Amino acid sequence: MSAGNQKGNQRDTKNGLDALNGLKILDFTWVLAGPTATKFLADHGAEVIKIERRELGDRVRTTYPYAEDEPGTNRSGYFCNVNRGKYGVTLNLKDPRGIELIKKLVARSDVVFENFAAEVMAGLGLGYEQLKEIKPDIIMISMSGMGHTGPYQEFISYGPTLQALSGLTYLTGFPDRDPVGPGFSYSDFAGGWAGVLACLHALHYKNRTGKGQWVDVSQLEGLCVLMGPGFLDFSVNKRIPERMGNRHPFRKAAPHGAYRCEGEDKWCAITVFTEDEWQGFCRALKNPPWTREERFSTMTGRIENMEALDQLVEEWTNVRSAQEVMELLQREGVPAGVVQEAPDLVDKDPQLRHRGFWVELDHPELGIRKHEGVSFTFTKTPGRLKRPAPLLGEHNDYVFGEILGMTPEEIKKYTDEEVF
Amino acid sequence: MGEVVEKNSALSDLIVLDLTDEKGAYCTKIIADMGADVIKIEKPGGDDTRDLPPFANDVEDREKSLSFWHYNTNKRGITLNLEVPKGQEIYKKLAEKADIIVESYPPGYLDKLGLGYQDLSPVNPGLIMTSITPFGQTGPYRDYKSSDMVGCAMGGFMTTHGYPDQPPVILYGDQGFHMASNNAAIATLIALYFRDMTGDGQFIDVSMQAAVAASVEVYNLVYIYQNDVMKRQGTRHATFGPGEMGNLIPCKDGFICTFGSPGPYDWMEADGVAGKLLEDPRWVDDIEFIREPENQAYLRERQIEFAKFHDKEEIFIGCQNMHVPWAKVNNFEDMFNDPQLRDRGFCVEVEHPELETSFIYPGAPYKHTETPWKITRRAPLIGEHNEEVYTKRLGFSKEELSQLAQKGVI
Repeated sequence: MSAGNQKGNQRDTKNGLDALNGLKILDFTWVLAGPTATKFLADHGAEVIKIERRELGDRVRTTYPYAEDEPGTNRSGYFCNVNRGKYGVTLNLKDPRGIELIKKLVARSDVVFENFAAEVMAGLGLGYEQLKEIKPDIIMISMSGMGHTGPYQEFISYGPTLQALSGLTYLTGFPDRDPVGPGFSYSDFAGGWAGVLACLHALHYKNRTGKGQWVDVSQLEGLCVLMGPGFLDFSVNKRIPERMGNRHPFRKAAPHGAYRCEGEDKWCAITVFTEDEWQGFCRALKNPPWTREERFSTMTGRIENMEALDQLVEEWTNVRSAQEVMELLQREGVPAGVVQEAPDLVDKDPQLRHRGFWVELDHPELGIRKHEGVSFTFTKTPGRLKRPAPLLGEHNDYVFGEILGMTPEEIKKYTDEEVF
Repeated sequence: MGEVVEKNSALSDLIVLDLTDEKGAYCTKIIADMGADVIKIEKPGGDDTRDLPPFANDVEDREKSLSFWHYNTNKRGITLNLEVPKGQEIYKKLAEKADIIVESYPPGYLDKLGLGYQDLSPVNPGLIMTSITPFGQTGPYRDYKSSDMVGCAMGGFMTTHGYPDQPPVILYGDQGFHMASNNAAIATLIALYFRDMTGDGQFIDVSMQAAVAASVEVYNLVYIYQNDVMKRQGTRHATFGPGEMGNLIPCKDGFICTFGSPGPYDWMEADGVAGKLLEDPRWVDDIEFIREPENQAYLRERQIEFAKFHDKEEIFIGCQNMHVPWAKVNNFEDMFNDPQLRDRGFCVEVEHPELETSFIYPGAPYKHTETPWKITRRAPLIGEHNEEVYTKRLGFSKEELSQLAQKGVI
């Protein structure tokens, strides 16, 4: 604790308690996985300086959804949600003066995040060995799709292709149909979590020993670890799992699925694992005679007769709103939940509202918009969304002027000469 | 409990008490696999998660739950009854010296036993306590029951997955629990950084629903920015709206994910299946043109015609060598044998000395150069570390231990 207390004296507390106050991150990452990792750090008070390409910026600045469907560099909700609270600068990394400025920023940084292909940073003179010469205790987190070694290290990957390689796509869907896979890039979150965890582990080690390190994060591996015990079922039991729709791959549960409710494409998830939950389920339905049929009297029987059971359950859910189904079942202790859609989550859900999950930020071009907030709450250092995402190059003056001490004339010259 | 300074281990100075069920076991695995001394506290006779299938060789044995094995690597295991006064007294002794506690009981359960954060923090102000629940510690749904699927449904994660003419479908692999656990581990380590700097601990309230709701990519944003409600659209990727991107197509021996490129046109031409794709440059880079429904249908027909003569490995490697980012759809066997994962040592061997054998486990999500992720010990047997923890660390005699066991305390 002694080293920690010394550092504690230097903490900037004028903005209240942020867990990561004083921590400096230099962020070269794009799209979603890398920016998700640094989002957690920015929300908790780290200074995150995001380096973007001149003119174009991060690729997702030009990705759907745009405010009111009107494209523009500063109009993408995709970009704005994940980059809130970060400082944004533009820099031409093909210009040696750009690299010199990066090196100055590295000298005052704790962590560098990047998600380029394997050789890119070293090619720019910014590989770990080179960064270490500038800042001996630097932590560098590389978050490429496949990792920096191995036969696929140069392969191009996206969320959906990583999901395909991990087994997740193959195993998601109903058994009577081709695989469907996830409807979006879940793997960017898996990669983002792996990246930020890698950084936080390394920071604690640095706090103890003063040593930095390089971490090679493979987004593919970050997703593969989330495939769970099925991996051991294969390696130990030699079982190759197949798609099981909404049945649990291993656990005995019935009913277990999404059941159609009143309205257009409305559903409620109902999951019954235990005898107590089955009894509660029967009570919630007011014990119709079919619930007492012999074939449904045991879990084994309910699983064997799942199709008939599902039909009977759906007869009951079909004439009720999903919300009512959830409430009736939860009242009897049955795990059930509305398959919530965006308006349910954003406008209605009383629990998310109670937690203050949605946070409004006023963006200069987009006006006041809701952002997905900090998903966990802390008693001492709550984390907060301080600023909306940066406009392209918004913080060039602050970062190059105030932090690195360039004069307005120098900044103008660099801007005119396309370094910024 | 003196600090065990293990070289080259990121978290080896930390003592963690683990009171999680399936919602949180992955959180403490993340921490244990980076070197923390994680002590899993189970009720006498063993934790309920030992009953979770699958089992080794399909024999239902509480020491052979593969789910338990997977989620409890590197942890020590002790048994302790938190519902009797003696058990509570022992727990408080352990908690006094713990750096982190992670628990996933229903809200209020530990408080009722006098073992909540408020009870422990006065004696151990540096304590970080992380609670993982389906919906959070407070609020209208705090007492709602959940499961992986219910958490995913309520967080907006289920509505986007599936074919439009079938019910929404759950993602394979208890991802709701994984989202909760990942968020909990991130939160805990953020709090650890604060503690490194100030010495102060704190309480963290993790909601699975909120963790899920922050992990749905553009789903909420499409509503917030465009007032649209995205619907599940089969194998298509949500970000690009209805379009050709991200379809799956069948090939000779499985499926190919075609995200990121309309196809390896030169290869298709060489195979004689390119049709008119090379006749008009709009097929190469004019997304709006390719998205015209009749063009999409034509492109897909050509892709399928190409793929049916090749197997997935051939298409994957061939396309990547031409900078076309298509990928093969792996099943578990393919993933297990994947050359990239193999080359990087993703699969690791874990000894099970009591069975005189070893098994292959999934490995690290990250490769730290100074402090490598590693599994040094398989999941604990029931009460395996009772003697070590209770006698060596808390100073009970063996006689006292057997009395505690008789009385159902441990």
